[in-house]
Amino acid sequence: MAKNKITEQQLLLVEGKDECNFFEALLTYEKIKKVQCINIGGKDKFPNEFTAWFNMEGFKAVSALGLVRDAEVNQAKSAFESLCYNLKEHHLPVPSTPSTLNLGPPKVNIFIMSDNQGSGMLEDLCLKTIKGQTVEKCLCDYLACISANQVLLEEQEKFNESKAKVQAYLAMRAPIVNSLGLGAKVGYWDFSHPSFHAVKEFLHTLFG
Amino acid sequence: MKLTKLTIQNFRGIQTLDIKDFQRVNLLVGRNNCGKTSVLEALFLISSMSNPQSPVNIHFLRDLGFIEGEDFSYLFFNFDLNQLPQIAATVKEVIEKQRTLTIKPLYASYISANEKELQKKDLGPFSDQAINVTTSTLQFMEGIQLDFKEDQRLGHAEVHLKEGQFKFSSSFPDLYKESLRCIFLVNRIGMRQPDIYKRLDRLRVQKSLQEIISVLKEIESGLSDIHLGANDIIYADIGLDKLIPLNLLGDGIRHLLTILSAVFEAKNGILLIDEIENGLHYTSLKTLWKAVFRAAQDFNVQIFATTHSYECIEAFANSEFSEIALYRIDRSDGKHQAFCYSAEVLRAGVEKEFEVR
Repeated sequence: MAKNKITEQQLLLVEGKDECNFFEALLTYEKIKKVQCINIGGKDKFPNEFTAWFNMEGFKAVSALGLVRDAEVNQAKSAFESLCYNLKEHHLPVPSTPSTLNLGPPKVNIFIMSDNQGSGMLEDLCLKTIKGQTVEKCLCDYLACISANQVLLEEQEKFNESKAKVQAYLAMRAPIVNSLGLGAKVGYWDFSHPSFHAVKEFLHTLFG
Repeated sequence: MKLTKLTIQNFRGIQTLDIKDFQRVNLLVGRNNCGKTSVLEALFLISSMSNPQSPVNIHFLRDLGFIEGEDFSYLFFNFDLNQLPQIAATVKEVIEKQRTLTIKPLYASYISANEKELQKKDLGPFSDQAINVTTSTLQFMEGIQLDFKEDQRLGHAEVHLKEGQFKFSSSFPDLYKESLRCIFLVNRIGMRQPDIYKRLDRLRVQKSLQEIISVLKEIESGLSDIHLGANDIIYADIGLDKLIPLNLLGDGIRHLLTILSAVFEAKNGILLIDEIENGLHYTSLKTLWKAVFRAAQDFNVQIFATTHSYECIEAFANSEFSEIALYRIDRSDGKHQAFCYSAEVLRAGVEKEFEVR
């Protein structure tokens, strides 16, 4: 049976279940209500899944649409342009730059992790909140030890330092959680940290 | 031959609706009363635009009778005879052709008894005869005329209903011959035993029954043959000592046979099926679509079907057939819109259990 339907008039499309959990936690923290977080595929799956959401009953009534994507290895510009292309394909309003709201209707805005500029992902944004703290040094020491001793050699090309640091950080917390998003739900990321200012502003201008 | 695009104006409850990029097998979904069946009817009318019986047939397919000419107003949007229904389609064979059908009301040409009485009197400007004249044209609607066009070739057909009798007429341009074959299967009609029997009998006469059976055999391996008996009974040979009535094999195979025989009968044309999954358990839907896709390809038939069933959509999407599309017909604030799911989009949606209806 169909599980995924449009239930709110404000939608936030993010890449993955983990990101969904993270943003649901952040929206709750910021007391922003009536926003439906939608787990939409990454770069390759996004066009088809976005069309499926666009075609869904209820999309016509959407008043605010936010899209969040990781820049990953490319600069933010490339990820932003890819999303704009999909919006244009469906004759939707297109922001002129990341985090610049297009009033539409519907209102549309785009945020590219981690700071709308360089490369990065949600993990990098969260790790900024522990920058300079002792725990960050411990994480770096841990990874350096692993690397120096060549402890783990399998599939090194897939190794992602930011994801590894996040997992190691969460492993130190109690009770343990195994994903960034679940960590957000139990308060393991400091939402009051200035690093989250830009993404909070993105949410407030769009949904506030 | 394939329909690629359809435009509907002022037909039934649809003021305007455009649907494009049709594939070989097209599934229409949407809420009750969104216009799915009206879309099938529009397809039927444009496919048989030169046949004045078609508007009458679609009326009967809705289980409606005809009492008087006024009943033709049901074809008109809001029953407004000033808003002429128009249906247009693009048909692609070797080249593309545009078809258009416009439906207009026909009014009676007789004079009422009162008017006849008035004509006998000397009605000068100072006549003391009070004249009350009402002009309720609906009371005098006698039928409809169909003005159809394929590219630049024009044709005309009419149907009148007078004193309980239909009268059909048509005039074609030189050398025009209706080339688009279309069959409309509605659950209540066309799927009854006598209808299935007649269809199979026609196939048997054409020596084409074995082609249907060969498709069925791939799906139901125990079946080796079908025979038509007396009293509209259809028998199946499943390798027992005697033939058994097809009805004993359950609704699944009977439904499948109905659809496959209709696909064959619509060879090189179009088949319309309302509520395709009706009467089938969800476990049979994969089998249904496998058979339908195979038959559509083998017999070169373009299929338009409607469904309410998510399981039917899942089975449709998860087949390996690529020439499919799903259209969600949306009706909101009195306006219609068709949202198209290509094969890739539909599969992505179904994989993530999106609501596509």
